[in-house]
Amino acid sequence: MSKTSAPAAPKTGHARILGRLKRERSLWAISAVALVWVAIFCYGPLYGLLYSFFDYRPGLNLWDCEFVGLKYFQEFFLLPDFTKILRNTLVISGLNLTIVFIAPVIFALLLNELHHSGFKRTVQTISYLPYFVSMVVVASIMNTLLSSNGTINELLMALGFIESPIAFLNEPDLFWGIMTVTNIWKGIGWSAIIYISAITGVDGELYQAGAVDGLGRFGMVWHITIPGILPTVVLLFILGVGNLLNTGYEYQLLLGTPMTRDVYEVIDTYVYRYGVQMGRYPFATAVGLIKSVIGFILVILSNLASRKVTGMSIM
Amino acid sequence: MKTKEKAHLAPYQKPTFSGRVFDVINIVFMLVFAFCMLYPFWNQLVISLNEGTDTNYGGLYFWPRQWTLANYAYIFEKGNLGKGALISVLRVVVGTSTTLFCSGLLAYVTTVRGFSGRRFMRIVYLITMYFGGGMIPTYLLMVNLGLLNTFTVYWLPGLFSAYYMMLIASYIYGLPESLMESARIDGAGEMRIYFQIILPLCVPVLAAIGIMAAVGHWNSWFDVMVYNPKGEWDTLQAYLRRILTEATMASQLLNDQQQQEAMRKLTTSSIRAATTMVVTIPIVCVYPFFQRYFISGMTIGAVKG
Amino acid sequence: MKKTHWHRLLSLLLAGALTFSLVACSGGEGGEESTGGDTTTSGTESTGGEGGEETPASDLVAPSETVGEVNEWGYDPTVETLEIDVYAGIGDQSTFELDEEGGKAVMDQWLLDNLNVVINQTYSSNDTTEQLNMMLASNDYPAVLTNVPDTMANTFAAQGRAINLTGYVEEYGDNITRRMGDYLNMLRDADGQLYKLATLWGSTPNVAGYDFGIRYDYWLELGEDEIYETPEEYYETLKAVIANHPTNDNGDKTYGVTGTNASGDQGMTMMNAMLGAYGFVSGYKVGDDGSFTHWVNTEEGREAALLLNKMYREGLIDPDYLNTTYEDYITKLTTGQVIGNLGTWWYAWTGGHETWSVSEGDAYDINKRFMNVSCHAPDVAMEDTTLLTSNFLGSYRCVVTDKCENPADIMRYLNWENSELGNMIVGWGAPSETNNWNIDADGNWIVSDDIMNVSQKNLYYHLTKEQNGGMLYVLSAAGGWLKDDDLSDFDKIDPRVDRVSIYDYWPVDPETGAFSDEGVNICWMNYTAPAFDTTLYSVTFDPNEPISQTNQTVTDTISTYLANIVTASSEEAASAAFDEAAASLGSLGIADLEAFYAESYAANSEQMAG
Repeated sequence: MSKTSAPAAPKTGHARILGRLKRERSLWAISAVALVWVAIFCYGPLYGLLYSFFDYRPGLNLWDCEFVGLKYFQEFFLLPDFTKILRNTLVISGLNLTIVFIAPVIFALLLNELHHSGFKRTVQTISYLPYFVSMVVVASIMNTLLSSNGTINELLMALGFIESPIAFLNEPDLFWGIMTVTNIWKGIGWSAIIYISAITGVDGELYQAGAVDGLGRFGMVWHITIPGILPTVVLLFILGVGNLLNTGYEYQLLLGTPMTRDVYEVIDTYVYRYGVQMGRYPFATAVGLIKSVIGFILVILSNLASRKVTGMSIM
Repeated sequence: MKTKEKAHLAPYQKPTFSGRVFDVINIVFMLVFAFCMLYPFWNQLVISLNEGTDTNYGGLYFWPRQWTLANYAYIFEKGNLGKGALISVLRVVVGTSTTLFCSGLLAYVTTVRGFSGRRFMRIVYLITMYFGGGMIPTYLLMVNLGLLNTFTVYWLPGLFSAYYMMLIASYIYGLPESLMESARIDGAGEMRIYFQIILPLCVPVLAAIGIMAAVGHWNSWFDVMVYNPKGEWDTLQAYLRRILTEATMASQLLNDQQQQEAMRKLTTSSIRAATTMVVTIPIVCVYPFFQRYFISGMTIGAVKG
Repeated sequence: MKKTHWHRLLSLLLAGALTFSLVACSGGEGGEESTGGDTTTSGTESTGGEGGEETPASDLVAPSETVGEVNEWGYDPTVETLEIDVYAGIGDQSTFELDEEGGKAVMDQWLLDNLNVVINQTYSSNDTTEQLNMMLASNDYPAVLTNVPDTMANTFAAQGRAINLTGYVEEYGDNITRRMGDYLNMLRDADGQLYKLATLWGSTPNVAGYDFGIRYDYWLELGEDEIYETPEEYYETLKAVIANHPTNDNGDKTYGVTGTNASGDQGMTMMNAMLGAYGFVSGYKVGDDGSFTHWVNTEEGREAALLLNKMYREGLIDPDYLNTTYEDYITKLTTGQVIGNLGTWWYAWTGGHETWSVSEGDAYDINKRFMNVSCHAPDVAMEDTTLLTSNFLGSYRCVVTDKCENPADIMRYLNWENSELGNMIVGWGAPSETNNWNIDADGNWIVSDDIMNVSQKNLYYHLTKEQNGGMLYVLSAAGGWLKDDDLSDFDKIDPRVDRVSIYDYWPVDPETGAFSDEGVNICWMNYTAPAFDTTLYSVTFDPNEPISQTNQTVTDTISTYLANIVTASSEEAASAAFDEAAASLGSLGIADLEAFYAESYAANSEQMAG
């Protein structure tokens, strides 16, 4: 996290620049390699964004395709279900950016409070297991657990909470909740890795100093550990904000039903069906570009906000 | 390397009543939590150890009903798992080491105070996190670079990662600037500062990113399928993915008879579960290996001490 | 501080400049060689390449030198080995290669020895359409594409990448023209040119289609004299069986029928089965005047949907019918949790007696099975139902691309595949002592005794077929019933089997024609619906036309409305939901879709006539 950069600014003009380049030549050498790579692999394919302005068909040259301007962008904004899709996208990624985002931080902190290192490592290893279970398998397990004669319903009925089974997966009111729980479950251990490593990086002397100052156990966490990992948390949050409109589609396609379509249909599922599956590349590209631009603007804005509030910035 | 266990803050504080209550709650929570995390995996293990036809009767939760190792025998007899495993391991080793090296170096470059290209590099890479050209241009790029049906296509396109760069850089910012300053005053070159001072301090974050990269490489199947149409460099994960999505693909066949034929050949869920186990267990074991680098105290304390 | 801002602005500008310079520089597409000047859309139906590219018979590439003698397999091999590169759609290339020592080796060797042909076939693991689009973009595809969706075949034709086969078929494709008859016309484009063939064509040999199945042993318990005939009677019967068996052996509550969560199903299969009993085609009521009316706009549709609702309300439909995977569906049938099957007939076989006969061994009782039953609506005769449909042209196409050096050679091979003998060989593997079939001294096609036992089909028939490379290379051949009729000559097939296709066969008593397996007879004795030819009703949606989006929207929306209707808490609520569905689909342009179906049907009929 850069706070300020204030190189000593000497002398004048070309001499200054040349001198500087000479001093930084090894840094520039590394940068040059990285720039060549990024130019080829990341910026090279960006010409594909132009597809969104043409009636592009794979196999035809772009200049042979009809220029249609903003037709496909318009199509996106004029979708009959546009408001619903946008609402669902914002709600789902809002949940991802809050609850799903913060859970691994809390988990990492709790894990750090375990004394027995064997237990701690075991829990840590187990916690990331769900990350390896393919969504296809997760979906089939969820179907079994949440079906009308599934474990959850049987448990609730045995405990007398409900009289007849709840159709969990067909209940629109429950969809977002179940999806959030699943996302937490699947990602918590995985996302916690980086925080666990960040906690490790907190200067040990700070704790000693804290003990001298008479900080209690919770005080240590609040005043030392959390500030220690805050830069990482802020960084990941800002990067995550850029993905506000990306919610993925695998979960919805596997676990959505016609009865929950009103709440699960998001931009990504829509683009998958109407863009990718139908082979309508210009439309898929146009929506992708809209999402990129909005995402990038959000990153810049949240970075500005972060700089104002916390003094931390990612650029 | 000195390894002071910072994990326990015990040496610095007296146990209190509220602390003890918290510990108990925390342990209980972690046990329940671990169960929830472990169960699906356990369930797959149970199914994989159960006889295939019997599995069709459902109701398998905690223990196999008709114990057998036949499912494992079957997938090993089929034979292409060995080669797939080799390629997967190779991919993880090559992919992880190259991306750690390159992204680490790039991260360092973007943290050197006073380097004129610092912000430029960060922004150039930040943009790549949100903008992409899409599937077809990327495919054409791989075709034009001659990367189709090669092993290179697994690691070269992931050589530098903006995400890893950001994470490592944020860690380096947390290090005391005085260390690098004093090295510069001693006349050390930038490369030497990176390899001799920064790198040893960055072990925890590099370990974390090492896990991420290794798992990412092990788990990826999309690039295998798209850029390796001939299947010469098929990884384990591609193999698993095909088995897992067999039923979905069969259900998408428009021709009823082709569909029936595909469904008839469907792999049993026991064999699918066995494959899931064989493909997943090796990579799960990577974590404990990296975990030992998550030891505090050795970072700042070690250097200063 | 100002300076920092300035720096950032500069960096952003630089980054932007970098982006745009790259955008400007790159732009080269793979398709420079594309000859298709036709950049406009390919139209809805099969409008292919432009008229100027027609290949008059005289312009045909001459076939390579041949041995000059038609051999015992009905093929005149080329002197030089004919290599055919094929992309065959979705599949697992690695398993295919592994098959090197199995059926693939046997078939490869046979083709080389007898026809002097080598087939280099590739599959892709990702979606066929996506793979074909990438092939188009990179201009990298083999000489022959098969298992290609109709729209993609049209795209290849429109871009001038598919070879005009009209002349070649006339010259070298006598088996194709003879056996496909007028149906071949439907593959032609607006100018009568032929740019695609059907991958698997022919009328379906299935004995059953959509069925109103039930557990036979449970039905016997009811002691009824006659089988139910209408959907309403089916409902009554299910209800009676459930009353007898409220729970299965595991103690789970039982249900009459269920569905799967596959994207095309989610309740639609049940509804389509119901509509089949009313004689609807693809969910549309077809008027005598050739008009199409979607089921939401018909009284029959309302009746069928309300019956499903009644079944749901009375606990006959599994409440999890929207989120049951195919495998869970099978499990539910196997464990007796679901005792009927409203939809695809063979699910009930897979989950029923095919599993039980293996797992229960000697204790298995032949009556423990699902019976496939056909039903008709009260006002519709069984002859007018559309439960058992068959599309002669299938859903996939075979295209010969501009990468092909000698289309004449390829066509000669495809023609051999379409000969009766060739068809059987690509389907079942070459005849031999060790295969499921052989040719005796009189030229009769004798099947092995092993395969007369239907319950062991997987063990004998399918395994042997695989080991002989059956169905490995089907570029374009009949996938339907290899029937002896006006067009094809299959009278040499062993009379002990009937309904032979490249997929399957059924042992019969040569005298009576009844299935020789008693269980099979039970399964099918009450399936009396006739086959209905849907070829003329097939519709191809061009993804770039607005109508295809309307179709997708309607498909998405209708499944939600159907779920609302079926799960409604009362008949009034269900009826209200039905009205709402009709109104909503009306605003989404269902009238356009109805018109489009009608137009397609009219166009198909006209095309078929030639």
